Amino acid sequence: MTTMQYTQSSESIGSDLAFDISDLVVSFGVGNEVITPIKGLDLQVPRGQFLCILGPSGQGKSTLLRCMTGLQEPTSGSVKALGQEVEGPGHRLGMVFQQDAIPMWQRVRDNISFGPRMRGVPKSEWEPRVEHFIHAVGLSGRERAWPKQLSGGMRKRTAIAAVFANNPDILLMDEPFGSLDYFTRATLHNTLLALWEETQKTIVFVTHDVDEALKLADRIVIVSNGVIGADIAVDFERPRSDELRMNPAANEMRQVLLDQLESKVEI
Amino acid sequence: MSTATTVRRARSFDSKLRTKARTWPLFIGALIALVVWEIIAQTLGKASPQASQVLPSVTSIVTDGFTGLSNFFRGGFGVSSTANGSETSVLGAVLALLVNGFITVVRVIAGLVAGVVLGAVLGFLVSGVRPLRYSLTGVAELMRMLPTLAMAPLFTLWFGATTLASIVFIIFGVMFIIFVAVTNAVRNIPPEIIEYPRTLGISKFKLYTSVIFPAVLPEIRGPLMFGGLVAWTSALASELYGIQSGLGWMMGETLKFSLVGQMVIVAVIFSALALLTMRMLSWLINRATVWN
Repeated sequence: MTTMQYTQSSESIGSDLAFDISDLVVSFGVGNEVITPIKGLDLQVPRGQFLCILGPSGQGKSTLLRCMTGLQEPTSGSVKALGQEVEGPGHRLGMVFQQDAIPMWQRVRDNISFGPRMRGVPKSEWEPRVEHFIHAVGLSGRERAWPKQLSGGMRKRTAIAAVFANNPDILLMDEPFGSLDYFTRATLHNTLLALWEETQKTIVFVTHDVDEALKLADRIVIVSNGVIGADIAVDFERPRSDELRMNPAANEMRQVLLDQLESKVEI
Repeated sequence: MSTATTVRRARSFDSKLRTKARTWPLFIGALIALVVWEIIAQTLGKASPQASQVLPSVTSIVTDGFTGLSNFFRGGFGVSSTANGSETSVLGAVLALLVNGFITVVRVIAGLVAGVVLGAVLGFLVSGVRPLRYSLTGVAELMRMLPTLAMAPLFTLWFGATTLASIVFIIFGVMFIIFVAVTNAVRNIPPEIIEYPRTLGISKFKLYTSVIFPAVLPEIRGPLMFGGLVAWTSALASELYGIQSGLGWMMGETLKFSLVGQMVIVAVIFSALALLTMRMLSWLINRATVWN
């Protein structure tokens, strides 16, 4: 395991941790085979951090994220969110999926208010939040549209606003921008970072794109072969522009990350 | 504004590409069919005097055959039945078609609605419990593949020659189609569609009513239309066995007495009503899945 720069401060224990994962093992049967994507993984995530989980496909990063949301039950070990064991999905752990998971039969505004409405939160409480996040993600004027009438980027904006409007403590995102074009991604990165700075929520963001991770993260961990293979603090000044590409320190870090990833790729 | 116009234009072009059924070509098609029928019937009629027994001309169907239908009217609305010695009349014929048509439509709609509701409720319940799903879908698949029409006499035997027998028979035909469709559709929902609401923290009940139910609607569109068709054929089959009312009964009687002209009229009315209810069903489904 390569640990660089990032060290856990001694104060951030207990409920200061958004996530405290120890000795996590996940295995399940696929056909006649038993596969073990997570093999004794430890990870601590302080509150408010923007963490990127980086790694090639098939190394267990999505399984790890599913354990963190409670959608996947660990075989052994423990996943604690904000000091409590995660025992299933719930509104405190919001999730943005890679695919379009928002209900297509709800108009944009109804989609963004879907979570609080379905949970029976009083309208007076959710309405201002919903209006705020419709505006914050740039969907003003499209509130009455059906999701099918929107572009892929607009649907992602809806999904992001919907998760924020449901007011979770932590946001988990599984390659949310994977299917979008370069420019749409770049603008969505800025939208997401603005929301993160405004709400101060912990974000765990899974990606296989090194540049995306460098632009977004406070910290990057590489999941390889079911454990944390590298843990790197990213302390470039924010807001980070695309000039990060010219920054020598960023280039150096990119090279380190790419070397790490390259050694893990199974062909 | 200009974008709105573009969108509208794009849509009209799109609808031209799709072969969406319009009303006026249907009428033209029907008119052409009638003219062709008339020409064939007239030509055959000149060749052989018996030909009109098999293929009567359209004009003779409308003039001679139609009033004969008043024999199927049992009296009421100020018009007395031919069984009481009244002459056959146009009004009697119209009333016979209206009353029996209404009876058949009521049977079809009652059976269809009950069959869809029963099949869907059972389908949703069973989808939640995996072992139950596996055991019941197998049985339902078998039932669906049975030639249900062959069981029509059995239902008359069980429930008598009654409207109830007809409705139960339609339910029997429709229910398994919808049941199998719903369980398949629920199984085919992509996992993230169900996982996302769970991460929002919504209850299991709300998950069924507000997510799973609307999510399957587009996929059961085809089976619903098929169910509508099965409801009509089942109604016809049930009315052919013993029941003394409905368009199916009229058709059976006209066949028994070789009243070809009347048979054609009943068949046309039957088809028109079936078409109308299928259009309504399609409209309802479109309304419910407008987001798709």
